[in-house]
Amino acid sequence: MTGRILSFAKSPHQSAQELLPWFLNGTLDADESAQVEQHLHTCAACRSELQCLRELQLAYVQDHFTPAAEAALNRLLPQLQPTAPAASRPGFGLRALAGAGAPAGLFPGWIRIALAAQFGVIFALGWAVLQPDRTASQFHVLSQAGAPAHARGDVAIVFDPAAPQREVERILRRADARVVDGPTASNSFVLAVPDGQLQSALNALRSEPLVTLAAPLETTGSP
Amino acid sequence: MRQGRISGAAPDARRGQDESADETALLQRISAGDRRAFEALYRGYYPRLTRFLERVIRRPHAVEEVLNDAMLVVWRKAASFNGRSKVSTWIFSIAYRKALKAIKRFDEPVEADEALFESTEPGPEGQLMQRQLAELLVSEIGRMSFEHRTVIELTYYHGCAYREIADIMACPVDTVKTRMFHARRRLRQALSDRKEDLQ
Repeated sequence: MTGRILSFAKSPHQSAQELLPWFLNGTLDADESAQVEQHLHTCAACRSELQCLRELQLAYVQDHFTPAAEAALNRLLPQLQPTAPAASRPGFGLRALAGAGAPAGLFPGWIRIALAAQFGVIFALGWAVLQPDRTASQFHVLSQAGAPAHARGDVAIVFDPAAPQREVERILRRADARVVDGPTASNSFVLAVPDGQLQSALNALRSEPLVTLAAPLETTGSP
Repeated sequence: MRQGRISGAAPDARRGQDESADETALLQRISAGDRRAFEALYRGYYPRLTRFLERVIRRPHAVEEVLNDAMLVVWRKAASFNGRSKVSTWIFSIAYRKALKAIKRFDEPVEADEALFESTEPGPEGQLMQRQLAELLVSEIGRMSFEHRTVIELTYYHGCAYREIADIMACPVDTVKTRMFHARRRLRQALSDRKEDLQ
């Protein structure tokens, strides 16, 4: 008798091998992580596999971009309705386009659609009117290499190519900054920060290891 | 320092908690009808949801529609968020269900089809640089099933734990591990084939 319990459970090697992707992205709990680390000390195959996964992940996270949300958000905003009343009204589907705040039973369906269309036109016209203000100022971006000529922004930023999207988003939130353009040919992005907060935003951005460069943009007119 | 972590790839526990608390507060405001809070949450999630949906539904023209459908559910159902999961898990699970619905509309097989994995097209001659590797990965992952693509994307790009992925996909954790294991095997084989082609 060896005292060994026979079971159909996975072997330590199999368990560790399965967990390697999450060991790599740092999301295992402490016990699991310790088990994998212990196994890696004794298993050349798993060490090799881990190295392969590391290369895969590095290549995979490099292939990312950060699109600006504004256009899509502006197409969605007209569809938002007050949340509490909407939840209690049956028949208000996801794509219901009735005017905000109008009780569902007050107007026939065609009037609601007409109101929604009218609202959409007003919104589109309002958006068109606002456009010149968004593009009025000009600036220089990283020696102007590939810089967008018409976006409004306060800071040019370059992230570490291996920076994961969620980290980029966290950094932007921490600096209260929004991406307004990019990536440029030099892989930089243009950020907008609230008025009067440029220096604090720059300090926050520059304190992040994943930020390769954060530089203020000139906003004082044409070159 | 834990081995195996790419620098900065995973937020530390305190940072994750702060982020989750901020997002929970946003959801509370959204449930009270605060549009500013919704806009902030939308802007925060737009890049990662766009990336996620682009990769898993592979129909660029449909990404914004699916994303906005998902965020509209967030707007309407914010009050139903019960805090048992992270906000990001809840939002991704909504996006996942919307993506699944879209995929079915496109008449694409959802579950794994081994035949889909068998072919690897030979690539152009030249050195296997990082960019080419990324392109090869995208190409290979694009041949996988919707479910395998989702596991790969959530793990490698979005840094999700396997339990989070199981919550998002509403499946057992062992299913997540198995899907990842098969996907890795296919990717490894594809990379090996490509390297042989280039030698």
